[in-house]
Amino acid sequence: MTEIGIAMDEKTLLKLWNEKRTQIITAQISPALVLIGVMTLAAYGKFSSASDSAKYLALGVAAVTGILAMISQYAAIREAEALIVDLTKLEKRTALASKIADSRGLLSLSAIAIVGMGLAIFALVTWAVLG
Amino acid sequence: MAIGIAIVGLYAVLAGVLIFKYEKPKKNRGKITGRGGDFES
Repeated sequence: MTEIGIAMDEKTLLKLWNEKRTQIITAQISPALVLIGVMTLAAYGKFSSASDSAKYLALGVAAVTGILAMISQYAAIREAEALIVDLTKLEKRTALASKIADSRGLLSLSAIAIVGMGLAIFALVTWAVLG
Repeated sequence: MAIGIAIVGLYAVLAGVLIFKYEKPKKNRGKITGRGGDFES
């Protein structure tokens, strides 16, 4: 068990790991719904005839939803990285815990990918809306 | 087109600021309540 303030055993850490993973997945739902709306309108060419206020509203909603989702996913990933550090300090681990503990590199890559892809998607949304 | 690039740039800066704030939070913040209700660390 780790002894950093409070003792956490493997079961607790795995439960937290699953919570972090769920947070990342649920954070993607609202931007996905917004993107569906923007994609549909853009595909039908509705933005070309829309007023400026409607275009900026669409961009604002996409930006706010995107940035909130990006930040919450980033925070969940960084906290999951700290959780992996605690997992690696356990003396005896199950195969599952060892597998998770070995995934730190992928996790770091995910944090970079979420920010990078979030910026890229917003750039594409801006292009689709403003033309 | 220029306004689009400016909006995306602003978005990138905002994302960068928020991530920086998460990574490097300011230490020794002032009390929130002003009535001694905050815990001292």
